[in-house]
Amino acid sequence: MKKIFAALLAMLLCSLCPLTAAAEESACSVAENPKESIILSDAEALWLQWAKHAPDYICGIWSTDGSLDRLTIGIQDTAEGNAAKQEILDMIEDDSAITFVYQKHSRNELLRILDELYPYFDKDIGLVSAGLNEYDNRIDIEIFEDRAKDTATKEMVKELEAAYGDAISISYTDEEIVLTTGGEIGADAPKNHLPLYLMAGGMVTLVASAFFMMKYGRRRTAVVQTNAGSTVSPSPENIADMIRHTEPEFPAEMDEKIMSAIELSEKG
Amino acid sequence: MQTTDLTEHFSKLRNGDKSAFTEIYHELKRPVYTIALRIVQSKETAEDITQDVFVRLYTAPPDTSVRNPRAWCFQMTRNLAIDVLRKQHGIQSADPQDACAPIGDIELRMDLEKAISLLPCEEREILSLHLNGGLHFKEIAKIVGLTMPSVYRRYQKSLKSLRTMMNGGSL
Repeated sequence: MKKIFAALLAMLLCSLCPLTAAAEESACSVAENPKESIILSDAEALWLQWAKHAPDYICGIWSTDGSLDRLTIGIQDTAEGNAAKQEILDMIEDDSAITFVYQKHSRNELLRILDELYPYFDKDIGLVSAGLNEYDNRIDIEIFEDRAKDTATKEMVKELEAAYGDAISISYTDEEIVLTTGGEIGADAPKNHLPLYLMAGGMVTLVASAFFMMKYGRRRTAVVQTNAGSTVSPSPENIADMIRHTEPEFPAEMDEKIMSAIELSEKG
Repeated sequence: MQTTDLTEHFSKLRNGDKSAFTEIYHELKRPVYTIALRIVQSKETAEDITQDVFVRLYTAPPDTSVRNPRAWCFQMTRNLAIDVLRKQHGIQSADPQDACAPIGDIELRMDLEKAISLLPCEEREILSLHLNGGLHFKEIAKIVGLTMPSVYRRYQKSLKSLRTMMNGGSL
């Protein structure tokens, strides 16, 4: 069950909107070509940015200690991937927060495969879950064990293995996705599992959304204790906003002064 | 105003349409003055620089090879401001940071403008070019002659310094 939910969570997080919003808030300067123009303050910002869009030479990115402060980045062992190492290190302030490993499949390629798998869920061929496994650099697919010998299922497995090779890993499970929300779902569980997937997905999305809203929905503000009591100090983002919106007043007499100078320059 | 609009106005100005200058002036006068003021930290000098920028812009607008006239104007502003600082401090160094005012301890709870004035001028110009001029770090890197990561690091550092100062700390 845990594996199923982990796979579902991974799949949903890939397309989660709050990630995008958070990434936009965290990344200071984001332009079209991420390799060239993103510069980020820390590993967490890098992770959030790449949740939105990772360059093709990135194979995976994951946390090694449960926080987003230290990350492992999978890159392709290609000229571009190797050349990008230094650029990635230059993107963030704390270089020591990043460890590199070589992997085969681009993360974008794996996400594309994941997208291509969605239609299979509509077919009644025993597909339970599919999710991005960044650590093992593949898409993990689970199929109901009791459907493994079905002709349609066997054909699907053949088709997927031929199409995606080692970019996917298929395993069999006897566990169903079951929601215990009061009533029991057991022998009478519907054969079409799609509504359950949607409900489970919805719940995971809600929880994840709530998490990201709590974490990133508000500007973080530090409270500083002084002898005079508590004072609220602005965040760096607040300070940037203050500078942006508190331009010094343009002297009223300057317009005339400048226009006169221009007239003079024309005559001169 | 979009960059394309500004480019069009500059094109008109080059072709002798002096009315285009008014549009350019009203679009750029505030950021030009703010950038100058935040670098030189003197209203009078910032006014002189602003005037100089617009007179030069009127008499010799950027040619067609200038892809971003906004950045071009801010670069001119920044260069004039740095020149003034060099003259004021009698420093011949090519490194603008050498021309910065010394940084000392400050009182608790200082206001933003005062805190900005205590930043190294290199950080002040990056802050202002980005936040008041609206330039991207890539454009700023070209103007100040640093790499983009260096510009970004200085920008982040300046925000952290401002935060520290506004919390009553010192640089």
